Amino acid sequence: MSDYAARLVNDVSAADDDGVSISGIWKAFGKENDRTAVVEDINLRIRRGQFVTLIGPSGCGKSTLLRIVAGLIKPDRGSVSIYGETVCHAAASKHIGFVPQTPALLPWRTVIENVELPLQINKRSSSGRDRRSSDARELLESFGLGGVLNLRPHELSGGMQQRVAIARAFVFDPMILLMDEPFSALDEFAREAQRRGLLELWQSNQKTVLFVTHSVAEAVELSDVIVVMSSEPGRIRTVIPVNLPRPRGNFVENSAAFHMVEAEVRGRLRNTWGQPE
Amino acid sequence: MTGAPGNDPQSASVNPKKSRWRAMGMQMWIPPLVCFGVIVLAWQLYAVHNAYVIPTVPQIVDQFRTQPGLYWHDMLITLQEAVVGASCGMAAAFLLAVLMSRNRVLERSLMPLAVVLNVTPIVAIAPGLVVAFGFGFTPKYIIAGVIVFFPFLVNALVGLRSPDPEVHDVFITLYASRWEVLWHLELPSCLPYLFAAARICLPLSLIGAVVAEFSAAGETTGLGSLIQTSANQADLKAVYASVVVLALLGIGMTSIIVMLHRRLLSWHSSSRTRPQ
Repeated sequence: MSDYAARLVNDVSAADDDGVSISGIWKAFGKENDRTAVVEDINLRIRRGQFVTLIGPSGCGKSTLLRIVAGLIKPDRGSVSIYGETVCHAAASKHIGFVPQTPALLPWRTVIENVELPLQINKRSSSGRDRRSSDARELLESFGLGGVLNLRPHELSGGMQQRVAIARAFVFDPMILLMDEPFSALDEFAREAQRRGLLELWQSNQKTVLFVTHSVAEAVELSDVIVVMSSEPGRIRTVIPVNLPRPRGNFVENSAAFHMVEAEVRGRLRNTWGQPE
Repeated sequence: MTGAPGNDPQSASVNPKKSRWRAMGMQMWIPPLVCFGVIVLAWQLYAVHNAYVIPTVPQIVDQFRTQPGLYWHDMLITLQEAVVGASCGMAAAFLLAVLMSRNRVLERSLMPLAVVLNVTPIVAIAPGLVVAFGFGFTPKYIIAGVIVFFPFLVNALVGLRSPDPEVHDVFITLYASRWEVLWHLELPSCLPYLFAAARICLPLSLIGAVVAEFSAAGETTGLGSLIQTSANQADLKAVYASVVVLALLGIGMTSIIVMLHRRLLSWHSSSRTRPQ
C-alpha cells in the first residue's frame, strides 16, 4: 500500500515539469450546511502533446473540472499543476488557452482584431515569446479564415465564429488548451466540419488539450485518452486510451477499431447511469 | 470563400446599398414631415379662431424675423447651460458607475442617495441653489447636471455589467488586469447604453436649464427667462416662439446623438437595419 502510494507520488512529481497533473480535486457548491459535491477526488495526468477528453452525463462536473484547471473556479481541496506551475502562475504567464462554449468574440472587433486580443492583454508575460500580429494573420489563413479577416463576428456563420474563437486561443501559443464543449452550439453539419478542422489542426501542431464534450463520436475521433465521468457526485469512472493510428483521416469513423472504442465508451457511460446493458 | 480577396463581400453590395439607402431616406423623412404639417395646419386653424389663447403660425414666424438676435442670443445661453451641465453630470455619473461596478458595497451605500436625488423635484431645489450659488451660470449647470445624473448612472451601470460572462472568462484566463478588462471589454460593451442614455439626458438637460432660469434669471438670460418675462407681459407670441426654439434644440441634440450612434457603433445590433 505504502509502496503504491510512494509510486503515485513519484509519478505525480515526475509529471510536474512536463504536462498537467490534477491531484485530489474536491469541489462542492452551495451554502455552508447544505453543500452538494460536484466533483470528488479527481486525479488525472495529461502528458505533453496529449489530447484528453472528459465525457459524461450532464451534471457530472466535467465543465467544473475544466474551469478549475482554467483557474476560473477554486477547488475546495487538491491542486492542479500546469508544467510545474500553479494555475495562477500559469495564467499569469499566459500558458492557458481557453475556448468557451459560445464563441464569446468581441462584436466591435474584426476577426483579425479579435484574434490579436490576447497579444494586447497582459503583455508583460508574452515579452519573452515575441508574438506579432503577422502571426495572427498567418494563423487565420491556416484556419481557412484568410478571406474574412476584416469582417465583424456577426457577419460570420456560427461555425466560423467558433473557429475564430479557437484561433484566439492558439495565437499566443499557450501550453495547454482548454475547450468547454466548443461545438455544442453548432448544428450537425457545422459540428462535423469544425471537428474535422480541429483534428487536422491538432495533428499539425500537437498541443496539449483538455476537451469537454458529450458526444461520444467526437471524443473518439479526436482524443488520445477518454476520461469517462459519472455524476452525482462527479467522479472519474474509467480512463480509456484510444489507440487509433494518427493522422486520423476522413474515414476514421468507418473503421472497425473506431467502432470498438466507441462501443466501449458507450458501454461505460451506460454503466454510469446505472442502467443494465 | 477562402480564395476571394478580403473586401469582396463589401464592394459587391455597394450599389444596392446606396439605392436602398435613398429609398430608406424617403421612408424616414416623409412620415414625420406629413405629421408635422398636419399639426401646424391644425394649430393655425385653431389659432385663427382663438386669437387670445395661442398665436397664429405667421405671428410666431414673425418673431424670428423681427428679433433674430434676441432668440439667437438666448438660445446660445440655454444651450451652453444645458450642454455644460449635462456633460459634467454625465461624466460624474459615468465615473461613479465605474466605481460602483467594481465595488458592491459602494453601490449599496450610494445608490439610495442617487435615488433620493432623482426623486427630489428639481423645481424644489432650484431656488435653494440660487441662494447658495448666486445668479450666475453655476446653479444652472448644477441643475442641468443633477437632472441627467440618475438616468445616466443607471444606464452606465447596466452597460458596464452587460458583457457575456464567457467573454469575461476568456479575459480571466489571460490574466487581464482590471484596467484591461475595463478598457477592452466593459467600456466598449457599455457604449450602446451610454448613447441610449445620452439620447434621454441631453434633451432632459434643456428642461433643467429652463427650470433653473425660471427660478432665477439673474445675469444669464436664456430662453427660460425669456419665456417667463414674456408670460408676465402676456406676450404669447414670444412665449411660443421660445418654445419652438427649444423644440428645435431638442431635435438637433437628438439627431446628433443618433448620427454619432450610427457612425460609431456600426457593430452593434441597435444600429443595424434589418432587410425587410
